[in-house]
Amino acid sequence: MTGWWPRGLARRHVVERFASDTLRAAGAVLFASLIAGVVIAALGFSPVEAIRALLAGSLIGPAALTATLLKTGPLLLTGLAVALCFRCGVWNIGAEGQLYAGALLATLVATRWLVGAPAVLVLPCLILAGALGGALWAAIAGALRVMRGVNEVISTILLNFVAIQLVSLAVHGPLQESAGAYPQSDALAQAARLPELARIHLGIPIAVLLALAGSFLLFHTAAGFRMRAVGLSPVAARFAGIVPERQLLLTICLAGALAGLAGAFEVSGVTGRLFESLSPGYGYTAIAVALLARLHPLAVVPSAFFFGVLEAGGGAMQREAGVPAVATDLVKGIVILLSIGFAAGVGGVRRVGPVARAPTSLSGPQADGEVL
Amino acid sequence: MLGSRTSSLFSLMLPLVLLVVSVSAGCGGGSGEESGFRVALLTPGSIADGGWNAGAYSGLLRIRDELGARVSHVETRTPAEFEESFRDYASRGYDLIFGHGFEYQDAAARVGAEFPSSVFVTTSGNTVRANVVPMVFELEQATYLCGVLAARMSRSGRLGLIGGIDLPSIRSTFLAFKGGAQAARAGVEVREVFIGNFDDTAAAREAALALLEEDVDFVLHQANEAGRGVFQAVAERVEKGERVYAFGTNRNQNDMAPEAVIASATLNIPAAFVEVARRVKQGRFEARPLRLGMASDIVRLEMNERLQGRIPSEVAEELVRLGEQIRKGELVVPRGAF
Amino acid sequence: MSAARAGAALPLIELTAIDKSFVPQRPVLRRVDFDVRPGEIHALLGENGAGKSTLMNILIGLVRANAGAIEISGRPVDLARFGPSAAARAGISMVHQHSTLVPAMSVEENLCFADPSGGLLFDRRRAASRLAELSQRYQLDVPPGARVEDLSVGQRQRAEILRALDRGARLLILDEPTAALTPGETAALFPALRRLRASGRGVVFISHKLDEVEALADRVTVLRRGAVSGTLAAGELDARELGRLMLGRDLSALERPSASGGERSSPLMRLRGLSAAGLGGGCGLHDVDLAVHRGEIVGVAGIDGNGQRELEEVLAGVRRMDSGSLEVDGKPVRPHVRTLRSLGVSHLSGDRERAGLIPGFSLTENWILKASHSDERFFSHGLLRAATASEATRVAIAHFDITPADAAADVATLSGGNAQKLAVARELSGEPRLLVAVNPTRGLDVGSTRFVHEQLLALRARAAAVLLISTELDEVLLLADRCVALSRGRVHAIPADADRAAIGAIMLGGQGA
Repeated sequence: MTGWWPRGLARRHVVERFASDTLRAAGAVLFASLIAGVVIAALGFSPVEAIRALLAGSLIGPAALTATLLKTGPLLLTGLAVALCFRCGVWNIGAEGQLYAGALLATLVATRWLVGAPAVLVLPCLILAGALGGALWAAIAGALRVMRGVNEVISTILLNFVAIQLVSLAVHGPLQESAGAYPQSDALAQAARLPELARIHLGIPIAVLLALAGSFLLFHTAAGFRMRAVGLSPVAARFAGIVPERQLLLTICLAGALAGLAGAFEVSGVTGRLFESLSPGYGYTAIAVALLARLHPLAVVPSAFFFGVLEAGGGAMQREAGVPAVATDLVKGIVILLSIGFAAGVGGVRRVGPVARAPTSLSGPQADGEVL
Repeated sequence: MLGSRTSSLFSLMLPLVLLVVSVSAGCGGGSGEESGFRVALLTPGSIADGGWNAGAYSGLLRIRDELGARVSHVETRTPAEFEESFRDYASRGYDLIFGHGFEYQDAAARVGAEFPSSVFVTTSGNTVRANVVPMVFELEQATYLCGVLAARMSRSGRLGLIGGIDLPSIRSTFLAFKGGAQAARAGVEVREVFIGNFDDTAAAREAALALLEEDVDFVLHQANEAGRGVFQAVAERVEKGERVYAFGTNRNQNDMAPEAVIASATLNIPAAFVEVARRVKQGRFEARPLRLGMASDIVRLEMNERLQGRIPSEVAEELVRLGEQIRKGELVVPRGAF
Repeated sequence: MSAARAGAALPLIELTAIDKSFVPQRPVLRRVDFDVRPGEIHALLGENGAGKSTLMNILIGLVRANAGAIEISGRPVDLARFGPSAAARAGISMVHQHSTLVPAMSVEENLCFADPSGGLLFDRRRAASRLAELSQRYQLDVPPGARVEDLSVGQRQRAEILRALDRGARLLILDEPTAALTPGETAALFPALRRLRASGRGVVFISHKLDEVEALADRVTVLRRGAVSGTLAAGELDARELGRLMLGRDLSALERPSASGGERSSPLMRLRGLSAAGLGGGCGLHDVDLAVHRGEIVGVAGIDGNGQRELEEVLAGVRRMDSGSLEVDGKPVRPHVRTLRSLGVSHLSGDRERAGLIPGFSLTENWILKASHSDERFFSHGLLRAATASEATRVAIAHFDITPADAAADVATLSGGNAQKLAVARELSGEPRLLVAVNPTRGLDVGSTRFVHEQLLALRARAAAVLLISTELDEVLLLADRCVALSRGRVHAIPADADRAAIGAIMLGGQGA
């Protein structure tokens, strides 16, 4: 009844909404291209050439598609993490930190604890470690919220910095490569590398499956139902026998696990080592990914792909059209802004969970007696 | 029902697909093979940083101007992007691709194996393959000479080193400094401090003042921007009439504190890039680390003319003599293994 | 009392024949006369919805009357023309139930802030000396320099009065000033109000508490359904008379349905000695004893803010009891949402939009909202059985004639009446043994109200019990077999033969008949 075809809703509505959403999306992309083109032209480059380079470098040919998909993977997982949290009314801005925490624990397992172990042992352990690392990191913010009423926006943002510094500390200290030369971890053994096909590592299909699973969770299970109820109205949820604090903790840990997986996949599937600058801010772009997808786990897949195109195409714009990095960042920013505007225009007014209402209405146990 | 927002899924895809179709229609013959020497540069940060990346970029521009090469640059931030950009350039037939940092080694080795006709050069690093080499700047040769100069002139026999982050490359220059100092004057004492970053000028100043407090009279820094703090501290003491000196590093910093900086150990990064590109263009590429030092005039010890008079002539002569030996390879200065 | 002394003076403000309606043909105020004299405390009484707030909003220039005249010290004015700031300049100030001070600022800074006489600059020293002088003169103690957010409710209120005085208020309107105060703070407030009266200012005192009105007021005006039902001088005050004025006397017109003869012996649900903390400084519950039997509708009458929310939340299982016990079928139960539901206790929320239904969820999702932990029909093995759920919803939609008849529609698109139908249908769907219904018809039109009433009576006829907590006395009297009144967190029995006047007196906290 959910997911693909809204039962009980006239088909006509769906077709109309689809048509109008598509038009808006197309409009947003075209408008963004126009503005970006003007900016590029103002900087003295050919806008046609630049946008051609952007699309050619991200979509045309196997190498370009691979580059895009490699960026889609982490954006998909972190975008999923953000979408789930927002659905439950939890403002998790900490996917970046959770990604780093996952990468850290996965690297620890792969380069310190299970060195020389066969792939059947080390890969599952590494993946679990990534999820666990992210979940534990997110749980800190969740626990602070539930037990002390600390606003999770603040705590997750601050925990991002802590996680990034922790990784920095680790690659300069306990996890630094045995050669001791550079701030990076030892290279992961081949057994600890995710299997890949034409450089598309296993983490990417797993991420897509997890988006399906996330959609199933949200719309077809009791747990997801409770999460959404809490996100829309924590007070009503409590009167319905749902404990909002429990849902909050559950959701943020789940989200942390997804973001942590993204970190583990980066280390095991792409870089083969832990570095300081593992992520170019995937966890922050994830917020835009989730909003553009209007917090629907399935829509996060194309949304993440779209942002993957931007990330990969940005590099191509520099390489082929000679547009400097600052300008490509500017273009990316314009497109992100416009696409979020699109998402708000379509879904924000009606409801995009916490976009319309502050999740702070979910009072902690210490607030004003027990309820409300 | 239950939330159904799936139509946005399709709606996102459609405009994207349309654009791809229109673009792929228009770029069939766009990327043909082109002749001529082509060089690309990957930097880990903005080329407007006025330092590490800016030097590499101006090297790239000199390659374009002096060697008539076609050049391209890309800023890459994550290891995933390193590989993607290496691959993209290599697949389009670039002859030489620079990765400006140790962090490019893994990606260069991986992509290098697939594209044997391109040469990949990482700035520092230790990974060597048939077509992948690091270029190693032998700044140690100049810091060795700094050590000699300091040991000869010091009254207290105590010398100071201030580092940013404790990195192997920085330790290596310190090692050379100590080597030069010990060789020139047995029993000289060298104290070193790391401030933990490259931009905290105040911390560098504090560290320098602490060393000066301990009777250190020569300070060499390897703290990039934070080094300014070292010059401030030394200049303050000079104003009080003390005979203390600092060394500049990486570029000529003699003008930053003309009464305090006695000499700078300089590294001409743009020249290094041109040198490497010239060797590759002329077919003189060899699969071993490219050591670039005083012999190719990329590393130099540049004296501050204002203070040159303070250097005893026999010390000045010794420095010239040692420099000549280093250039000829007769003297090999100590360096760290990394 | 000083009513006589004040009687001669020209009224500070005089409202004559005020009419107001927001929607045509639905008057909120009808030919209301109201005046306050210098040196007078004038109490205003009335049920929820009697028109008190509208009248006050007209006084402070927030709302414009459709007809009638307003005179300040004998001169006609149009207060609404320039809004509340004009009223403030005319010396009319309102002290709201919820503080309007800036929490992060000190009291002095709040005095400076938007000071109508001040220029662009803060003059903190002058404010501090003014504050000290005023608080000395009226004995309104406020810790100097303290930030408002650190003050107690009573201190904030005193600060608010001081700010009004600082701005030269000659008429102060206090909206239920004691609702959130402790008895000690209330006791401290009264002398200050008397001192204000002695200084020649006028005070409008809105309250539901008879003893306070008796202790303070020189005159009392009672509003009922938008019209003044009487104005009494201090000497004429009498609980029964006030109750009659507030609630009317048309009791005989109502007909109680016949009882279905449920067992009287053992109550289905019983509260013993229940005490619970108040909400946001509210009065809480004190030593509440209450029993509901099968086949019986027990009505809990009372004016909002006397413990209704707290009682609702305890019985819904979301509020802790501080002491006392809840028994179902004679067995003690720890009140928790899921425990109560499993025992057949159902809860029809008095706050439909916030606590009962979830706007943004479809009808189906709202239908199964309370089932996510227990109901195997809709959730089995952790999975949502969507087909069953929407089928059940469609049946309910058809049965209760809910429009739009679309199980997938957002509940936010439903009208109030249809949303309440859905909520009622949901709570009745499990055939509850006890339904706790709170203000079940608030905001509904006649037809929907009738529907809800029929459902409650039908439930009773099926030998289930209903606890009806309502602030509408008519509804309680219409439906309940037995009534109690909730007043300041305590339950007072209402004798079966009590008339409206007596009930009103009990609700106001007097001793009644």
